Amino acid sequence: MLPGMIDGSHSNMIRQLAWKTPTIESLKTVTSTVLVIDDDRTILLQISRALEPLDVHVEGVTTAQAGLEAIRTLKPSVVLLDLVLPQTSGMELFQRIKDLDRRLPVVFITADAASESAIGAISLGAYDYVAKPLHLAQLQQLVSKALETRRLMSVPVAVSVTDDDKAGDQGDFFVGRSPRMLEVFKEIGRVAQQNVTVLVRGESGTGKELVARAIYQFGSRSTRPFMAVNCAALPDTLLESELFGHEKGAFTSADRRRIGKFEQCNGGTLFLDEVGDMSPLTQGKVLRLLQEQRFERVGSNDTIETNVRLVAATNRPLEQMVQDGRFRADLFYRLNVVTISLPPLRERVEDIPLLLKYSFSRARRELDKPDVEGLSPDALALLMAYPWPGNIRELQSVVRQCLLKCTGPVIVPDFLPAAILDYQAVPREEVTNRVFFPENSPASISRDPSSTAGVRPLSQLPEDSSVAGAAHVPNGMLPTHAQASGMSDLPSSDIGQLIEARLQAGSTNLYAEALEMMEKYLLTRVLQASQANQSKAAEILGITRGKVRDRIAAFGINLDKNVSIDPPR
Amino acid sequence: MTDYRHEIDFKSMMERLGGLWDLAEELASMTITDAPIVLGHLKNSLALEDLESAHRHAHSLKGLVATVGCTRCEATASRIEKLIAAGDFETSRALLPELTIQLDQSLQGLKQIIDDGQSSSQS
Repeated sequence: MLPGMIDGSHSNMIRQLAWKTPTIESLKTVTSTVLVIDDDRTILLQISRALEPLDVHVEGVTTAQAGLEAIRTLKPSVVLLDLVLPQTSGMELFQRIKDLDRRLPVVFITADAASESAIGAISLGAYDYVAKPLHLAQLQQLVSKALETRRLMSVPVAVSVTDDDKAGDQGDFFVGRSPRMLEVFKEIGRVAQQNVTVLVRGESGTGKELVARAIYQFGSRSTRPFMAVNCAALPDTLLESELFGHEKGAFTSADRRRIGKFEQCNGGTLFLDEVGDMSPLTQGKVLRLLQEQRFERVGSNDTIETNVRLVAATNRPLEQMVQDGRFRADLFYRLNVVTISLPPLRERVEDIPLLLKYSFSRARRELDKPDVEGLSPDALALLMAYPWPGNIRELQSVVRQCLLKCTGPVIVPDFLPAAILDYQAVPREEVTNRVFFPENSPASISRDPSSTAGVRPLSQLPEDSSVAGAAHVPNGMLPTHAQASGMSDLPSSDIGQLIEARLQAGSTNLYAEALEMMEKYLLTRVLQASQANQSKAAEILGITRGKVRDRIAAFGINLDKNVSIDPPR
Repeated sequence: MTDYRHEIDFKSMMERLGGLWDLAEELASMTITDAPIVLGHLKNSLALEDLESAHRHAHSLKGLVATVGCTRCEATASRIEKLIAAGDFETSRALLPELTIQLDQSLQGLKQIIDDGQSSSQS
């Protein structure tokens, strides 16, 4: 054995690199593990140093057996694998890794940049390869991208229509109960299993990437790769190379062959964000790929076949761009097979309390602010009235700013960013000192029936309650206290008015919506009358206790402290 | 004492390592320790005509010396690796004395760079 070298004979030992011994403090923040399988200790040292800024935990093993064991036990986010290992080849090990976890990005380490085996491995699904000697900055960039790919493929997109506070814990969340969002969820369900191109449209910050990931995760290609490319983030030549790859010497800085995303993603799903920002040349190449599933690397005449499902997204007016000659009509028709349109937040104001609740729950944990209990009604009213030009991304940012700024348990208007305070130029009606707790539904009902005093029933709210918000508030006035704070004690009992509102909003699911409205009202009212006693409620309703429990869960009624229910719509 | 620092492509190495002198120094020390042992394994494998082992050790040596910028040595190791892959043990063995001298000179160059200390990284 070489002095000081990692001993290959201890193949079952997972050795932790001595220079990256994690402290308790570091383990608290480390989120991902990068596994290095290489018997050269200088490689392990370099990788460890290169990845220090990424806040990842690096583990090194020297043999295939130890590598497989480490993948089973440590569940790394990325594997860096030497192509030449003792007793077995990196290629053989790669196949076994893929059997264990098809989504795990594997980056080959090779001593030869033009290695045919490395290229072959990529065609079989390896993420990429790096050549020795390692260039630490490039390595760091590559691992960063691989970690992001892993996150995109693995973090579930939870579609939540309940008050379950834990829904957002599992991954990224897709929150909405508004009819427009329910329609989006249904559309995702309809197209996910179909092998069709999907165009996701919506303003910036509305969650287009989440739609793409949901289509991937619920689709038939969910065990194959998912990759994302932002077409607006790269100059044209780089974008072409990123998508289609290039040969060594294809252009000045092409010092090695590069495999593009369409090749890497063979069998999987590719998300092309900001597709409206592609140049005419790249548009032409993407069109050909969509038509024939074939392309050439930049600088090569060899045609490569691939099988990629494309999900594209844009916030640009493609129809207008086609008319102006800035976007190819034939590509537009190819992309526009199925279109999913995400509404801007200002058009689904009824989702704001729930979005705030989830965002606060998550940000409170991330920023370690467990003492913050919630928003004051006047702060909530201001947030409800704001038009949110940056949509959900802006809302999440505002929530974090509030939490960082707030000095007490309740977020009051003083802690809101200036943009939200400045937006209000009209007098607000008097507000009370009641607090909206993000743990509970925005609409809460005290067990004490007297607490309902002063709350305006929905029938007194503006007609189109489903789109109540700044854009629809007459003369820019804020919503009423009950409406703006979402604190009406009961869901609507005025079914007629709600039906009118939904008819005007163009609902295509009114039967179910109306039944749900009625049922919510009934359950909430009876539970209030029974002081949250489920057996008594079942007796009054003439249904089983199980059915009551089921309805409580379905509607997200919280019985811990208050009987809670959705904001009215 | 002969100056062998020219054997090392120090500038490229530091560029790849992002200018981290302490890392360069540690890698050089590791290579000074490990490379002669890998060369010994390569010689033994070639003597035994163990293709798999000889190929792996030539490959390892090539990667090891490339990391610290021993370019001449890397080129010879690479040649031997290809010859072994083609099953040409005789030519591979014939190149061993040349490789041994190159490695010796490269490692001396690395030692001299380490002895020069961090001032090397600025030159």
